[in-house]
Amino acid sequence: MTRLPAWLERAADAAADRLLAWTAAHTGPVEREWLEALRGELARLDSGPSRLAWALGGPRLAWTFTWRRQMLGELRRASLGVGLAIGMLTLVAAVCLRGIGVTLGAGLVLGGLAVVVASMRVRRAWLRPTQWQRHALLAPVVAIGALFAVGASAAGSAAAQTDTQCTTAHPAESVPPVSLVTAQDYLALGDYDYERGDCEKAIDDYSHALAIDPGFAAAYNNRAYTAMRRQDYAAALVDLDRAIDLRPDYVAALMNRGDIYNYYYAIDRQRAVADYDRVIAAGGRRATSVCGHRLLATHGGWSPGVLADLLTQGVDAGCTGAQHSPSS
Amino acid sequence: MPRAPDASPQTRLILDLLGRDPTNWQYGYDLSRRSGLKSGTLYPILARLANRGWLETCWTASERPGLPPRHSYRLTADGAQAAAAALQQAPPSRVVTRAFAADATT
Repeated sequence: MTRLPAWLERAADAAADRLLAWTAAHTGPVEREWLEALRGELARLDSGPSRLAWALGGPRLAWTFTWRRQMLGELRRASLGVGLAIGMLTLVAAVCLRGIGVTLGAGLVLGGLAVVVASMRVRRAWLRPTQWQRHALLAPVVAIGALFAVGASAAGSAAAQTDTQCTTAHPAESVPPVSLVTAQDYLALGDYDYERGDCEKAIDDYSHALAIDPGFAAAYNNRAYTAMRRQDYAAALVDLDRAIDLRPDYVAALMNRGDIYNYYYAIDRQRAVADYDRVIAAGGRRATSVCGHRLLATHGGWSPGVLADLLTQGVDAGCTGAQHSPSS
Repeated sequence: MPRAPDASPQTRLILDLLGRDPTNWQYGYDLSRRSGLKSGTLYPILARLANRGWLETCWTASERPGLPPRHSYRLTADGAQAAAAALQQAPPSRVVTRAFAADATT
């Protein structure tokens, strides 16, 4: 066998010694006994590299019996933490994005998987569960989460279509007007067309009503609301301004304009608060969810402050400081 | 179907080697050379078998002055039975019967 230079042999020996000593210092007593067994054989090998290669068995031994279990414990704790964090973030995202079903479903699946995988890793190392036990652990979480996510996403996509694209028919609760003579008739026709999902026709109907009666505030508001559903907020704002000019205490129009400034377009939360205050002053507090929207507007959107106010005072916190009408 | 504990091919290989000469004590390096397993695989297997009571261990005094004692192994009665059963179910897939290396100064 070719001998290496003496200095290389010494270096390999020193590395092997240090490796075994370090491993022994960082593992349990049982493993230390086996490390001694390994060292006993190592002393009988006649080349430094062979001894170094043999010494590599020490860390592997410690990994098998001690280090892996320690690491799995850490992983388990970390995964539980990650699972909890996912749950908390999901909750916040669900509230902020208002896609509660989908987000919660996804969060349940992810968080549940994180926890189950973490516990399975530990169980596999300690108890070695059989395949069916692992499936039994995993199946309910996945099934519940998947059902939740599928159901919620189906509902969410349906809602998205009706709410934002205005292409799906609403339940037909109204009937078309018998005659089309007055502005009120065209308003009713617009409502009917809106409910059956034909927003373009509804806008035409409202426009027709306004052609007959340019001072018809309800037609401006309904045309604006239909434009909002089509995400045409600029046009909606123009109509809402005119509706409110015509009827300064028009609760529905004030709420719509406040919502646009609060959430959708040309975000200006001071103007949103001003509109909500007018809703409250006009006595629209009970008929609307104005306090909740005002709470968000005053805090500039979702924040820990909103959560604190909701927890301590409830949604009424949003109406604190607003000018109330005697009837609200 | 999950694999039974201590039924890995490497474990069966070690059981086979130990079972061929059940009365004599054997050493780690010899087992490593004959099985082709590195120390990092061999010693965890030996430790597991010893924990299960299948392996008897003892320290053997050095044959030459200046060398540390050696850890030696042989199957217990339980171990021999278990080895026979394990090997009957699944014989070892690989047996390395190389001659002992020249660098083993035994």
